[in-house]
Amino acid sequence: MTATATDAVERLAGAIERLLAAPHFFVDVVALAPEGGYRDLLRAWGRVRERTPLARDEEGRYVLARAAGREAR
Amino acid sequence: MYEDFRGLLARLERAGVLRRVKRDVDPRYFSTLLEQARGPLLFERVKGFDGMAVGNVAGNRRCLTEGLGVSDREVGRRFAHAVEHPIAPVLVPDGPCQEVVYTGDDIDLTRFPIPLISTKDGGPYIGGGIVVTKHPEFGRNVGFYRLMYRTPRETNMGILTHSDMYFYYQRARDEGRPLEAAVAIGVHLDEQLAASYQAPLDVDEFTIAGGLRGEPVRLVRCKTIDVEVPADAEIVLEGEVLPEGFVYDEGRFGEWTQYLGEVLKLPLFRLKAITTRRDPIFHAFHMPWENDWLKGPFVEGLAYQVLRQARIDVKAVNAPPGGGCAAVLYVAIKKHAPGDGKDALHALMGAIRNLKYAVIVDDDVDVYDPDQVDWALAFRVQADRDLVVVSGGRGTLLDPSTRPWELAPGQIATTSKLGIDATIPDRAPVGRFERMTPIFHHDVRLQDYL
Repeated sequence: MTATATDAVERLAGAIERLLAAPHFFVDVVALAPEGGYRDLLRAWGRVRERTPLARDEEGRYVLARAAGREAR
Repeated sequence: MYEDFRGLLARLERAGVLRRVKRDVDPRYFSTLLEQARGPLLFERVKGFDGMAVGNVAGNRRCLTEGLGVSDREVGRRFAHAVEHPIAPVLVPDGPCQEVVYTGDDIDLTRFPIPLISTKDGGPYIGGGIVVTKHPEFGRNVGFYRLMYRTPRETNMGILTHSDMYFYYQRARDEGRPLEAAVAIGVHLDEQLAASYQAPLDVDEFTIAGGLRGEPVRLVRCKTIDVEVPADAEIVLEGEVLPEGFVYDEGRFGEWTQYLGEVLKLPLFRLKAITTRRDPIFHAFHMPWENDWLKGPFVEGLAYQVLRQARIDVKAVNAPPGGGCAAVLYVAIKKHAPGDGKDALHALMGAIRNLKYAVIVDDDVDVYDPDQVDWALAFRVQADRDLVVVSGGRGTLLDPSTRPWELAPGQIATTSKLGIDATIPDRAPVGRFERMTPIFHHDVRLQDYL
């Protein structure tokens, strides 16, 4: 990946983490990426998964574990 | 000639079953386009990705009949014949699936346009991979297990209870080791159908694929694990299912019943290598249709086998998509004695696990034409005499009509099953059920008059 592409992935990862301060479905995460940006989205999601504990609510929505007040793997 | 995935796609295209999408498509639109197509689409240009993608390869009944080269009536018979006449695979020294090898930091699942399929799915899913594992006692197992994307080198492994792989995985866990697994994506319909078959534990599904092909499946050994995969696969993911167990969130996922499943806790699959052809075509498996249609031949084949053993003269079997190609069966028989219709129902409902609703008709009714089945239901059935209800059969939690919320955690669902004998009643007077036919219908053709 080029430095520009890496920046784009990091920006997207940050946007995902901000979004998941409240519960959202993965389709809402997809909506953060512009058309043609699906690969960056997959990369950014991977980055979030690796560094940020996520929880799931009763409907299956993702939320930051610290926002949900519990740990998740 | 030995046919690979690409050969199959070319044949489906020549038959007018597969269509090409020439415009740029973002992978987020794969699912809705495939849903509207209700048949195979080859996406030539995928936005942001190299290479092509294809979905709905088994997306309708014509995919099966063209893919297998048989008629509607022969689909199940062909599968049953393969089960009864398996052919062992052969190991070859190399194959196209290893033209390119990625290891270490080059392992990156984001090379492939892994689609989000239904709106509330928990993530993008690789559904079109057949997963190959081995057991020291029972040998090789091949099956479809879904993989939810997590990171460029990790997915969940969709090991659900009562699958063969669950058993293999528990053995590995008991020994404190990971379970080596290879996921072959972009394999021929024969291998996909065999992987959909719920074979006995000690049966290698590649032998059934060989039975379908009429020749051995060609396998190559993986680069980093002791597992063999089809040599002509488009993509192979090599890795390990970690022994930590059922601890990683997975789902929700749009299931074969067309309902969303719950969030589950499933194991983690960590990649050790990715091998591909030079220009791999990604199989974007589309739920529920590919899952359902791939089950059809196995279910229909099992119906033929069961009814033959019950000494029923079975003429045609249809497992329609409305029942996920498993829960509903329309069967045509030739009755030779009173009771054949009811016996057929009892045999089917006892032997086919997911079956919930079966209709038996006479062989003058076309079971592939819903109007004809409705006609038989309307005019050959009396509900108080021709229904068979079986209670307490094994069910699935994926069928919400089993009221899973009434069960204790871990309890297995049970289901009732309905059978309808829509054959002409036993001992009916001659002529009472004689069908009308248009005059001269064998002699005159409309096209000759237009």
